Order: sequence, then structure tokens, then C-alpha cells
Amino acid sequence: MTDLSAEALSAKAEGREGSIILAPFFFAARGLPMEPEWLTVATSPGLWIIACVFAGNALIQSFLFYRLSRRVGTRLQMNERAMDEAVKASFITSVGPAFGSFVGMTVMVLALGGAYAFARESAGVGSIMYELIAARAGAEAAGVPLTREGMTTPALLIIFWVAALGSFGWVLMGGVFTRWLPRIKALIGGGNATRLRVVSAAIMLAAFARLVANDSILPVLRDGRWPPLVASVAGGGAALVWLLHADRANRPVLKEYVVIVALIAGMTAGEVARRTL
Amino acid sequence: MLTSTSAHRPLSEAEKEAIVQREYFPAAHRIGLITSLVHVAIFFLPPVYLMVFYGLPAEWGPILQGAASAWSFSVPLWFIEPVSYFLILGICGTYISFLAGNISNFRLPVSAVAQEVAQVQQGSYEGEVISAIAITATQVMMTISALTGALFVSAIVGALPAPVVAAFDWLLPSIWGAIVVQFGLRNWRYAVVAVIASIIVVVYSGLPSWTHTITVVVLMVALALFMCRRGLWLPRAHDLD
Repeated sequence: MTDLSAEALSAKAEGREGSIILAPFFFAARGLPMEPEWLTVATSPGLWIIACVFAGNALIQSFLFYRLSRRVGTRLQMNERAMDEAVKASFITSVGPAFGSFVGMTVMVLALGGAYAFARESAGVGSIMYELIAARAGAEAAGVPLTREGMTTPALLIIFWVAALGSFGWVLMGGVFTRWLPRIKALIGGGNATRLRVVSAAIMLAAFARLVANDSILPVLRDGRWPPLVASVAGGGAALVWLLHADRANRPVLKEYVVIVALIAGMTAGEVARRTL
Repeated sequence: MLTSTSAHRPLSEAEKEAIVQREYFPAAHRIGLITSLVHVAIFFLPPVYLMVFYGLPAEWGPILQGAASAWSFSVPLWFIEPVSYFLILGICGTYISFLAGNISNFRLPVSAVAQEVAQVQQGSYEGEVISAIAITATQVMMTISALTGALFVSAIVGALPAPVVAAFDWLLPSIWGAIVVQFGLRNWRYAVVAVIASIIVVVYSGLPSWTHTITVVVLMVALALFMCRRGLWLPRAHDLD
């Protein structure tokens, strides 16, 4: 990742980043003298159309699920306003992660082009970490460095294959086996709503406590790096204050903003810790 | 907030189950299966496009070598993640999340916050519906974000002050802390155990990293089932409203 950052800086210093930004608007400009051949291929109209197919299929699926859920929600006599609030809460909560993902895409756009980054981030694995692991594995197998200068079109083909082969199983498993997952729910819940609720909360806590341990506590124990833990504690503290305030004020709608509040507090504290500790 | 204020008689659990079993699950599985299988094919369009339109030959040796490296990381997760997250994401949420990714940074926090705001119980049919609606909305946000990023990321990131860009290194740890607190508020004992168990598994167990999530999830599910059977650590009555 270091070489890519250096590459990004170098591109910026030379004023070359403009070609990346404007690449999609110059569909007909394949073979621009400023662009390496692989980037011309990676920003070709065909690849942008494929990226739109990626995003389009995911949006169609989401639309169908949205329509179905609204219909069934109404049949369950759920309040329309509660369902509208869910949409609003979703958009508000997504703002921070969306911007984070946006910043994280820098590396991928520089390494593999905007069209492919759009496809994979909007409707692929969605994990920059996985994409970089797959891209690096593909680049190594192709014998090229994962840099703008080092990339070649044949290597790009290998990387695309590696990324697709390495990740199609998530979609296949989700698509084929999700119909059997409710059996797990029935097995665990056994018709007891309280037990199901406790188990659901325990799973959520397990998933996120593992992330806290891995991303925030491990760096302190292994390298003495405090900022991630400071960010987690500050984010958690801000969330605690905000949620308690929303409960005391009897304004549950305030909870929509909990992630944004936590992000502002956590990111600020993390950055302060990096500069001071 | 949960149910309509109209003059309808409130539905019994059996009636809700009948509606969900008849009108929700079959349609959700049909949509999920078809769109997922189509998406598997779409996954392979970029390399096929390069081969067909640019006449590039596939070098299967390096491709399989690279794929083997990627599989060592991803294959266990193909099986573990749907099982681990299903109870939180619900049916539709699981289909969307495994088609378009971004589970821990987008889908789980959004599902949790939406259910909290709508005041529905996790694991209930209403929770399933609210989670599905919230997760479908994230897909719109993700598409906008990814398209904007693909087109303008260099310019926008370049225009931000350096400390602001640097602070995004701490975005994910901030979210992790916030969600642990959100769930810990009503289940603080479980939160304490989950954090301690995670530290032991992640830092001291020596287990490969791909086993960490499922190990902690299985431990916590076992603990929750054990405690519920004994009537311990149950949510307070007003938390179940």
C-alpha cells in the first residue's frame, strides 16, 4: 500500500491526477499519450458499462426487497412512519461510512482505474482490504508491481480474474444458502422472543467486540499504538452520551445521528492522539 | 410506534408468522436467488470483457496461483459470515449484504440504528422488515458514494485539509466503539464478556485470523443460550417494550 500512496503523491505532484478524474468523460480518448495503455483499457466505455451493470443489478435487488418489505410491513400493521424513519436513519447513518469508503477508494482508483473501483465498491465485495489483497495476489502472480507505472494490461486481466474467483463465493453462498438460514434462527430462538433478542444482541456484540479487539486493542498491545483505541473509546463514549440523552429527552429520532456523532468524536480524538501520544 | 394506529385488531404472533411465511419469505428467496445468480455471472464480466474485446489470452497458471492466495483468505469467510450475521441482517439483508458487501462498516450499523430508531425488537418480524428497509437504502448511498469516488476521489481528497484526510484512519475504530456501546447499553454484561473474549481470541489464542469472528460468535451464542435457560442476564422489562 505504501508504494501506491507514494504513487498517488507523485501523480499529484506532477499534476497527473487530472487524467484519472476526467478519464470517464473521455471515453473516446483511448490511447491518450499521457495515459498508460492499461489505464486506457481500465477506463474504457465497455468497462464503465459493466460497472453500471454491477451497480444496476444490486440496485434492482434492493428495490425489489424494499417494495416487498414495505408491503409486508403494512400487512403486519407496522406504522408507515416507522418504516420511513428506518429509511431516514439509514441515510443519516450511512453518511460517515460512505465518506470513509470514498476516501479508501483513492488507492483502488489509482491502482485499477475508476470503472473497476466503482463496480467492486458499489456491488462487489465492498472491502478495500479484500480488493487490495486480491489485487496484490494477482499482481504478484503476474510478476508486476501494483503501481500505476508497473501495471500492464495482461496483469490487469489476471487481477480481474483473481478478484472475481476469490470473491464470487460470497454471492453464491448468500444466494443459494440464505433460504436455509432461518432454520438456525428457529433452532436458536425456539419460539422464545426474549431469547432470540438476547442471542441477536450477543452476536452483534461478538462481531463488533472482535473488531474492537483486532483494530483497536491489538495495536496497543502489539505496537504501543494508541490512536485506534482512543478513537474507539471516544466514539463509544460519545455514542453513550448521545443515546442516553435521546432516551432521557424521549426523542428516539435523535438516535439516527448516533453514528455521525460517534465518528466526529472518535476521528477527532484519534487524530489528536496520533499527534500527541 | 411499532404498529399502526388504525382501527385494525392487533395481529397475533401466529397471524404474523402466517403472513411472513406466505407473503415474505418465498418472494424474498426468489428475488435473492435470481439476482444473486445473475450477479455471480456479472462478477466475471470484467475479465471476460478484456479477453473478448482486447483479445487478451487468459494465463491460467498465474490466475490460479493468485486465486489460491485470495482463496486462503476468503473461502472460510464465504461460509462463516452468512451464518454469523444472519440473525442481525435478516433474510433480505443477508441477500443484499452478500451480493454487495460492506457488511461491518455499512449494513450492521445501519440495521442496528434503524431498529433502535423504529423501536422494534431484534429478531422479531418487525425487526426483519425494518432491517431490510434500512439495508436497501444503504445500497443507494453506497452506489452514489462509489460512483462519486470513482469519478472525483482524487480531486475531493486533494481538496480536503491533510488532518481531515488523516483522521479517516480512525473512522472504523470509532464505529466499532459506538456499536459496542449501543448494544452494551442494554446488555452490558454481555458487552464486557464479548470484549474480554475477543481480546483472548484475537491477541492470545494463536488461532488463524479467519476463525476469530466465528469463534467469538459461537462463544457468545453459547453463553446467551446458557444464561437464558437459567433465567440470568435477561433484558429488563422496559427494554422489551
